[in-house]
Amino acid sequence: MDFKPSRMAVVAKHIEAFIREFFDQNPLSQIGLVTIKDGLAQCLTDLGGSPDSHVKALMGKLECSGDSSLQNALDLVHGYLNQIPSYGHREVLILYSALSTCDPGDIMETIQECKKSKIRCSVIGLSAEIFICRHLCQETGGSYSVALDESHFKELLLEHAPPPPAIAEFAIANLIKMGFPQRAAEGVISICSCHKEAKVGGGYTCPRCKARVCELPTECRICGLTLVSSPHLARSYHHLFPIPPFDEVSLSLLNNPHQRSSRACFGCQESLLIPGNKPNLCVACPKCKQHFCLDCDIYIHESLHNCPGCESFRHSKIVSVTEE
Amino acid sequence: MPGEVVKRARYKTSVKDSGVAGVLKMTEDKFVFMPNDPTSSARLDVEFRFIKGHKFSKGGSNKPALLNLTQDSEKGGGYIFEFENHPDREVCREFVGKALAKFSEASKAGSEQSAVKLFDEQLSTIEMERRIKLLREDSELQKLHKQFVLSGVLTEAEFWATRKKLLDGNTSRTSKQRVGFKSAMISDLKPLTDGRTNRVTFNLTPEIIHQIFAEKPAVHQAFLNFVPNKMTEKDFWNKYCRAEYLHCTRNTVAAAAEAAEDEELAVFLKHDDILASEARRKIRRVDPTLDMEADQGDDYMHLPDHGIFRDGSKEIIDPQYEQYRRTLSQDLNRHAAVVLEGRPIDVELEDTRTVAEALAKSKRVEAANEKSDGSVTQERLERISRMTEIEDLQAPRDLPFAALCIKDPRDYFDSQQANALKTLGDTLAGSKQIKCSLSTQEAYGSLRGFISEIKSVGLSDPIVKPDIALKVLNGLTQNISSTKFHLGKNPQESVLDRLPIITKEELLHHWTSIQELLRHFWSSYPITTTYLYAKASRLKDAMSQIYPKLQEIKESVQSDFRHQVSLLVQPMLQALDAAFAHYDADQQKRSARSGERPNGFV
Repeated sequence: MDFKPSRMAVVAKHIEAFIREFFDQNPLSQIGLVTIKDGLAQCLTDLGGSPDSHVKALMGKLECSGDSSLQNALDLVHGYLNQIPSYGHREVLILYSALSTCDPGDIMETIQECKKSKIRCSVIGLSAEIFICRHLCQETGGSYSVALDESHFKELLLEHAPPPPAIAEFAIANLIKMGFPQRAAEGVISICSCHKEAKVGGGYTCPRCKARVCELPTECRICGLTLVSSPHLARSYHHLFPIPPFDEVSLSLLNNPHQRSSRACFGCQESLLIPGNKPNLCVACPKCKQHFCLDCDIYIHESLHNCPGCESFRHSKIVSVTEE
Repeated sequence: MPGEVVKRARYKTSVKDSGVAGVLKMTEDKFVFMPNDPTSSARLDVEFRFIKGHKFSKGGSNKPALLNLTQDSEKGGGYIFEFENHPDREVCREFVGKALAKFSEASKAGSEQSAVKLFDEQLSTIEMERRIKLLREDSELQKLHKQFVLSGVLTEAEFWATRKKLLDGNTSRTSKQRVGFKSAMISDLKPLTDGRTNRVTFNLTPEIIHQIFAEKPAVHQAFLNFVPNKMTEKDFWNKYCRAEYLHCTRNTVAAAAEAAEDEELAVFLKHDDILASEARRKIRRVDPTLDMEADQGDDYMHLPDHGIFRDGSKEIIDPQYEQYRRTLSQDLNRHAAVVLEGRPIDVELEDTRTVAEALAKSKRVEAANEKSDGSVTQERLERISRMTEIEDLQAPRDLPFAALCIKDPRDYFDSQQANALKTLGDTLAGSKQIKCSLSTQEAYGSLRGFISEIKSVGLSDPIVKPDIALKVLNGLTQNISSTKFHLGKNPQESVLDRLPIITKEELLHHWTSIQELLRHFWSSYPITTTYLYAKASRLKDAMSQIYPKLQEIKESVQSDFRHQVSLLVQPMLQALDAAFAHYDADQQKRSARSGERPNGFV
């Protein structure tokens, strides 16, 4: 069963979903799109943080022809990613449908270069497993998988949206200057620096040079300051401070009649007992010891990224500061 | 000096060239040459900025009066004009001299202000042509260029540094890539047969020819030797295709017969000697611990087993025709070897001759490199021997694990909160006591108080007074967002379009110049060298000049549009103010740090 109506249509559709999901999980990151055609690699979009521009460029130019060249693509990507500073994470995701690669030189050298520049290359194959892709992923620490059908492909693709673990020694802490712009008042008219048009209301003003930008996160065109909003930063934190996995509560504990507080899930207040007064499966947070049902467990770990039990604790440390 | 000079002249590309007759017209910043013949393509339009010097031939009644406008004294390249008589040439020469002097003054003024020149600009002609082309195409860019570079506020290098993308263009990136050999065996020519006549047609493209030369070194050598001395290219390929046809029919007897007659055809029909010797040489270089018994006669030409079973029996061939046999496995293996080696040349595949020569040259280079660079080949051999280890027979390669480093968020957030509260406490000067906790008793008590109050007073009817509501609604829609309100739902119309065109142009022009200046201004901070300091001062002066212009626009416009224009100008003034404030703050810091220094040293 191959992909219907055509591999290109299916892949494009899922790439759009992936781009949106990626920027949802990593608002401070950037994506660039590269296509391989007729043995050459071309840059479709530059590294940027606006999902709409990528999707527009992708849907506007959907064509395929000729052989594929893995080496040319890796060389092109290597040139672009080398300009990223060291505190940034460099990754390549290759969606490969061909069964061979037509290279002008020694691809093993290119793979070694990527390994040296710490570029993590992952491949999702659409037809069959290819040795060179397997070798590439093994050398650079990426993941290689081959999609069996459309839903499997979507699953594999979205697996790459959350960021992979990075080695602490390579990601040295750096202080980066960032601006948190305020939203301009409704009555203000100004010419924005990205479109060169006069826009009414809306928009944000760079706190350093007072230029107007249309959307966040972005880099101010005039003074080069990275402009973000606090929700964007918070969403990136969730990957650095993940919720510890909840422990399963053994049924013997639940049967204890003294444990009255564990009759309802702390998150949704649904009863933890199935009809017949028998205890159902539930989990508990290792820090705050509150009980949660399985649905809340999934929701907390995948979407919320905060444990309600831990958040409802008083911070005893802070109280001590104010009382001084 | 006069505004312009018009003279008859001939434009020559070199001194000996007879030249194209036409009219040369020079103005203060450029010269234009129009040939008399309207179909001629020798039109010129060059700005004096790009002319570095001028030379002229000595005066004399019989000698031609030449004027050479040079672009680069080292690389040459320039425009030579021959005039009808010497006085004409003298007038032009003086004019050019004055124009060049004016431009060198302007550039000198710019360079004086930059006390330290960071690097000399070695512009290639291509680079300069691209810049001229960009300036010609984009009038806005040209205006900016004129405004800032020619008045000495920005140097050429600075101006173009932010526009690297425009200069590079898209082609440079992809053109550096090369296409590899196709995996498909296009060198295996299959003819088209015409059923009616006895003709077979072979189709040869430069790509196919390239692959043929790469896979069959004997054919390549033959091409270099025979063409064009012994035969034309067409004859060569005819013979080659004849040989291919004979191979297709697998008629070794006929092949032998034809080879005996035609010497050149024999080259194509026999086995490739160059290939055989290369294979033997490679076998000798193999690691001696590797058992090569199975690959004896490893040019794949001599083992009797390497035949394909046909009709249940192997083909038995008379030994004298052995050398005219070619097997599929030979071709496949050779093709695979060539593809994996990679593509040695990246020359444009137009002419067979260039392809052949380029291939020969690259082979020579490779051979020379091999002989001289023993270490590289040694490293390569080591790498190859490592890669040929069979995966299943190797020990499992367990890479060391690095532990996940997950820090406790409370450490980070709590310490930050303490900092925040500390600063808050400083600003409040500890006057207010912050009560962070409420007992349930207190909360319940206050809620009860509110409820009893409402019970006694009751909710007002209506809850929100209609006239107040209308006032607020109007205030929000008509007054605050009045512009949006008046624009209505028309998305095409923009605020700028409703203003008179002159004002719109002026505003946009000022806006682009402010953007340009601000970009350079902010990029020169933090100031580390005198050059940057001078640059910042220059930019600040330029910006102070624009400031009053913006105020003027606000006042000069009609009263209907005054509100809109002032709204538009406001953010620009704010941006300039922010820049000035930063500059002043920086100045204060520097003077505080350095104390009193004589003569204004920085």
